[in-house]
Amino acid sequence: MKFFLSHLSASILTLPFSFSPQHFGLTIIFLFAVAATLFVVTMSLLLVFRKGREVREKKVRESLSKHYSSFFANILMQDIPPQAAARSAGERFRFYKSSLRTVKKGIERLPKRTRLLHKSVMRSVLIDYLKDLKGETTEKILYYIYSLDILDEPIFMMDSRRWWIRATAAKELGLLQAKRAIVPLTAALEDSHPDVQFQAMQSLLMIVGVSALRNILRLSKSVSQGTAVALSVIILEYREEAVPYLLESLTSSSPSVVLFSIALLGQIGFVSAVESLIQFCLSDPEPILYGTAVETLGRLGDERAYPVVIAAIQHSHTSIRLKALEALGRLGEKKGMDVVIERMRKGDIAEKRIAAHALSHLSYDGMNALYELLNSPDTVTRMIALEVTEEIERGRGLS
Amino acid sequence: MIEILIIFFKAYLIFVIIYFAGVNIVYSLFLGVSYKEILNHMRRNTFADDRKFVQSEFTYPVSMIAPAFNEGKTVVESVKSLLKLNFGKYEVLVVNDGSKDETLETMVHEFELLKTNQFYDPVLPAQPVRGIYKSRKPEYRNLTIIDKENGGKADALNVGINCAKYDHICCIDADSILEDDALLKSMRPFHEDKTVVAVGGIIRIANGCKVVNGRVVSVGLSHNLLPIFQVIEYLRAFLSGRMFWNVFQGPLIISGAFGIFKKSIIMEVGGYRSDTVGEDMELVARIHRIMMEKKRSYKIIFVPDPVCWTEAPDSLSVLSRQRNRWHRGLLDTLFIHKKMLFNANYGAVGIGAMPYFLLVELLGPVFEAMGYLSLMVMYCFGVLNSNIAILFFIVSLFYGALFSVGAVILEEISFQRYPKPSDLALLLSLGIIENFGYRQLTVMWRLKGFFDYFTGNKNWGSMQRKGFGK
Repeated sequence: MKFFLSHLSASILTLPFSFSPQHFGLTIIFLFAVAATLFVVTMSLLLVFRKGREVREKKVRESLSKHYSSFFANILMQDIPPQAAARSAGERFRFYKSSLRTVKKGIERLPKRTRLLHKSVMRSVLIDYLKDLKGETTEKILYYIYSLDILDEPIFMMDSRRWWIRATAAKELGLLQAKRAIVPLTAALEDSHPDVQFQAMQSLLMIVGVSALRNILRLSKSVSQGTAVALSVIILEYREEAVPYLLESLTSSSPSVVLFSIALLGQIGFVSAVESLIQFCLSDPEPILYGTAVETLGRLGDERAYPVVIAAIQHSHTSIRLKALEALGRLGEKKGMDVVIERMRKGDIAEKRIAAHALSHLSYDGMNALYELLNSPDTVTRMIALEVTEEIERGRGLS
Repeated sequence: MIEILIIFFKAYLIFVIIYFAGVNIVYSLFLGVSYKEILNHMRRNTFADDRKFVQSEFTYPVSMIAPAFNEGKTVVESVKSLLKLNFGKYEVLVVNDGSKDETLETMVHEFELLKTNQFYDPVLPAQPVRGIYKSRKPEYRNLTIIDKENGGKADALNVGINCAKYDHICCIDADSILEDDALLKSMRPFHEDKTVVAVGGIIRIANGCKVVNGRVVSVGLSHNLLPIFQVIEYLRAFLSGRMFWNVFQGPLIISGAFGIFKKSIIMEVGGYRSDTVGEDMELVARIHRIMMEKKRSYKIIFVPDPVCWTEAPDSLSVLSRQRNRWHRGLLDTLFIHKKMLFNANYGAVGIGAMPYFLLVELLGPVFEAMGYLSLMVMYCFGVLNSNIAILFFIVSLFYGALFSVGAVILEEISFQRYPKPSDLALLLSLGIIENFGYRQLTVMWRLKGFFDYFTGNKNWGSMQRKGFGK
C-alpha cells in the first residue's frame, strides 16, 4: 500500500510538469481527468444547490397553496346578498370585488418576484376550482382571475423562446378560460412546435367552443396523426355540432387537414355529411383521400352512397378498392354483391380477405355466396373463404 | 529482437493512450447529449395525454409478435401480460418456434386454443407453419398462436410478420414483460412523424423486481451481484448510448426484446435474416442502408421510457454465452454491411455509428486485452514506468466509474425507477466496483466471441430461464 501510494503521489506530482514525448499523452489525459473531475464536482454541487432551491420553493408553494385554497373556498362560499343578486351584473361584480380587497392590497405590497410567485399559486388554485366547480361559481372565479391580473403572466409567457414555456402558458390560458388570450392562442396555432400548437387548439376549444374549429382547421398547415388522435377525442364531444366546420375544411389546401376531417365525419356518424362526401369523391381526389371518403360513406350507412362505393370497388387503385369493399360490407345490403364476388375471385390476398368479410355482411345472400366460394377452383379463394366462414362461426360461438 | 518487441509494445501503449482519450471524449459527448435529449423528452411527456391514444380511432393498431422457444415456464405469464396492455386496437401473435418443451401444450391448455384454417401466405421465406391456433375464450379474441418448425428467432419473427394484420409490428421476446403503457409510449413517434420507420424502447432487468400476474409491481435489485452489474450496463447502453444516436439518424440497433417497425418497411428490406445471431442489429443496419441507398427520408428513434422488463442471466456461464453471442452478432452485422463503414454516402451512420461500433464496441476488448498484455511484457523486461502505469490505471478506473455513475445519475434525474435510496447507493457503488473483475470478464467473453466467430461457431447459446420472481 505504501509503495502504491508513494508511486501514485510521485506520478501525480511529477507528471503534469514532465514534457517528454513519452509522457505527453498521459499528461493530457491527466489534465483531462482533473478538468473532468472539476466539471463533475461543479455540476454535482449545482445539481444539489438547484435541488435545495426547488425543495424550498416547493414548500413555500405548498404553504401558499393551502392559504389561497382556503381563502378562495371561503369567498366562493359566501352567498351574494339578495339585493345584489337580483340587480345587474355590475352589482354582483362590486360584491366580488369587495371580497378580494384584502388579498389585492396584500400582494401589491410584495416585491415583484414574490408577487409573481403568489399570482402563480393563485392561478393554480383557481384552475383547480374551475375544473371542479360549475354554474354561478364559475362567474365568480372568472371575475377573480381578471380582477387579480393573473392572466398577464401566461399571456407574456406565450412569447417565450422556450417551447415548453409557451405550451404551459397555452394550456393554462385554456384552463383559465381566458377570453383575453384568444389572439395569442390563435397565433400559436402556427407555432413551430407541435405541442404548443396542440395546447393552443385545446385551449381555444375550451374558451370559444366548437366554433374555434373553423380557425383551427383553417390555420393548421398540417394535422399530424398524433394531433389527430388527441384532437379527435375533444371534437367528438361536440358530435354533430362539429360537422359544419369539418365539411368546410374539405376544401382546405392541406391534405392532412382534409383527411382528418373526412375520417372524423365518419366517427361522428351524422348523415348530413353524405352529399358533401359524395361530391368530394366525384371530384377525383388523391387516392388516400378518396379511399378515406369512401370508408366514411360506408360508416355513415346511407344508401345514397351505393353508386359511389360500387364505382370505387372497380377503381384501379388497390387501396381505394380495399376501403370500398370494407364500406360496402358496412352498408350491409346485397346491392353490389356481384362486384364483391368478382374481387373475391380476381383480387390479391388482402382484397380477397376483405371481400370475404364484406360478403359475410351482405345479408343471407352474401353468406350463401361465401359458402359457394368454398368450392371455388382457385385454391387461395377457397382457403380465404374457409378462413372467413370459420372465423364467423367461431365468433358466433364466442358470442 | 527483444528490443523491437519492446519498441512495439511502447508504441502500442502510446496508441492505447490516444485511443483511450478518444473513447472518453466520445463517452462524454454521449452523456452530455443524452442528458439534453432526455430532458426534452421528459418535457414533452408532461404534455402527452395517453388516455386519448387509448380512446381515439386515429391510433394506429399494432401486431405484437413474440417468438417462443422452450419458454414453457414463463410463456403463459408473459402472454397474459401482453394481452392486458393499455392500448387501443392490437393483436398478439405468439410464434412457437418448434419448442422441445411444453410451450405449445401449456398455451393450448391455458388459453383453450383451437387449430384453425387461417390462410398463411409466406411472403417472407421461413420454415413451414404446422398450425395456427385461436382461443375459444372471448377475452383472448386478439390472441393467435402460430406453431412452426424450428428455424431460430429471426425465422419465427418472419412467420409472425407474414401473419400480422396491422401496419405496425412490435417484436418482443416472449420471456419479457412490457409495462402497461409501453406500447402507447413507443407508438407516439409513429403518430408524430410519418417518416419514422422503427422505434426501440428501453430494456430493464427484472431480477429482484416483484412480478405479480405478469406485471412488475415493485422495482428492486437482485441479491446476486451479476444482474446488478448488468443493470448498470443496460442504463449506460440505453440512456447514454442509444439516446445519443437519436440526434444522428437514429441508433444502429433496436433491441430484439422490444422494437416496433412499420410492416411495409420490414417487407421492403426482406425481413429478418436467419443466418446471423445478431438479427436485431442486422435488420436495423439494413434499414439504414436501404433507406439511404434509395435516398428516402426516414427516422429510427429510441424512446427511453417505454419499459420492457427482461430476466437477465444470473450465472457466469449463461452470461458468458450471451455476451459471446452479442459480440458475434455485432461482428457479423459490421461484416455484412462493411460497405457502410467510413462511407459518407451513408451519412451519420456511415461515418459515426458504424465506426463507433467497430472501433469501440467491437475492437475495444481487443485493444484492452492487448493493453494488459503490453503492461505484463514491459514489466517482465523491466521497462515499465510504474508511475505512469499506476496513474494510467487510476485514470482509466476513474473514467470507467464516471460513465457508469453518469448513467445512473441520468436515470435518477429522469425516470427514478429505483425508489429505495439503498438501491441507488448500491448502483452507484457497483458502478465503480464493476471495473475490478467484472469488466475484465466481459472483455474475455467478447474476445472468445471473436474466436468463435472465426472458427465458425454459429450457436445461439441457450438461456436458462427461472421464471419471473423466482
